[in-house]
Amino acid sequence: MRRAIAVVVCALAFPALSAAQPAPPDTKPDGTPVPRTADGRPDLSGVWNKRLVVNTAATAEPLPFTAEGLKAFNDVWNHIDPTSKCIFPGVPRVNTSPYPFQIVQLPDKVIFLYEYMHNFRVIYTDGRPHRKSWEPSLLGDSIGRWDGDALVIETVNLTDRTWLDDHGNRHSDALKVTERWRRVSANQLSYEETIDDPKFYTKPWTVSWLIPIAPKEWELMEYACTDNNKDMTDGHLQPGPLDGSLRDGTAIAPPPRPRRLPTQQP
Amino acid sequence: MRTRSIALVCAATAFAYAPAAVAHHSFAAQFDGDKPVVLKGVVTKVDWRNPHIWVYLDVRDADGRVTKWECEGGAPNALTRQGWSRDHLKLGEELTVEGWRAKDGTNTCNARTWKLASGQAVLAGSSNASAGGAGR
Repeated sequence: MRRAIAVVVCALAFPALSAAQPAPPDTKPDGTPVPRTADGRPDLSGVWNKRLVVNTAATAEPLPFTAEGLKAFNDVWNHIDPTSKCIFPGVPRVNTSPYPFQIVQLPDKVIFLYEYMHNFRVIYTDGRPHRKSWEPSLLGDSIGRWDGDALVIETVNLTDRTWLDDHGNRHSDALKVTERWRRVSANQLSYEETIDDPKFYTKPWTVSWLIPIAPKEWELMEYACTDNNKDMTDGHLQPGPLDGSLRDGTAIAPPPRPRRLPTQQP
Repeated sequence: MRTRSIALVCAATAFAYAPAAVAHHSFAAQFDGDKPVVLKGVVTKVDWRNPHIWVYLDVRDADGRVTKWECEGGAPNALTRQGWSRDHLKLGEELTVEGWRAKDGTNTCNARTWKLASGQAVLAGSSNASAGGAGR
């Protein structure tokens, strides 16, 4: 009771802070019917309100690091997050970066349009193999196929120049990503990613969550990261993971130190 | 006693709810969580551009000296979706910014709240993207 009173008083005292708490994530389908295309497949099309996932590995920790992977994880304070320099998030981070994305599903391909950094992916589902002549790239080489009601995307030929997330989880150039996308209701997508990177992890690991559909009026907007990246152009960028998590040599990163609230003059 | 307990809980809550280090760049590396700052100044420029808005202020001290400051806020797209626009901050308007100073010692801050002279909070406060998308 006393705790309840304190919570109410705090909520009154800090309305902005209370409002700033993220809504609890959807954990199960809401039971609304799954829209389907003319060929009977679940229709993934729509604008989806994907949210920033700060630590994509949270439910898989402790990660099965190799010695090299553990070293890279703990070395993160010696590097600037690539996205701070407006380098594409790459696959799979493009799916866990903030801002909505749109899926356009066609009979032979599924097109992903991401607001964040204006990335796009054309995922062919017509049975073609991975490309033989492409050089390694940030978004890699993705090929899709339908496995029942799931769109399965396998991405290879990635570089080691991107990170997995804001927590500073890393990957090597041996990374293979497998995504499984399912529309589980009118309002929800199920997203699953499997990280298979034998240089950094002794075995593959998998995480998943639901992504809600965006409000009806939402359209993709311009996100030009290089338009005014003052942090970079003015020389303010410093190394470290975006979530500020610390490192102590182990597989679990200590949380950042709490900040003092601004209540006094400098 | 009860009042004091509640105050302590509130303080703890406020610490726990302080915006997470989520932005286009590493807050913890770039700004100093131990150097909170409150600035009261006049708006001289608003850059409503990706990846973050920047607001420029002339801050006058007790002796009348003017110091120029620039403070970083949320991301234009997230702010727009929340109903904010550059029209909510007018040039010449008095503004109070609560935030944290840059580690490099320049007159740069990361804003947590923006308040007009009327006391109205604008621009969705912090750049905490995980709390609804005002970050990056």
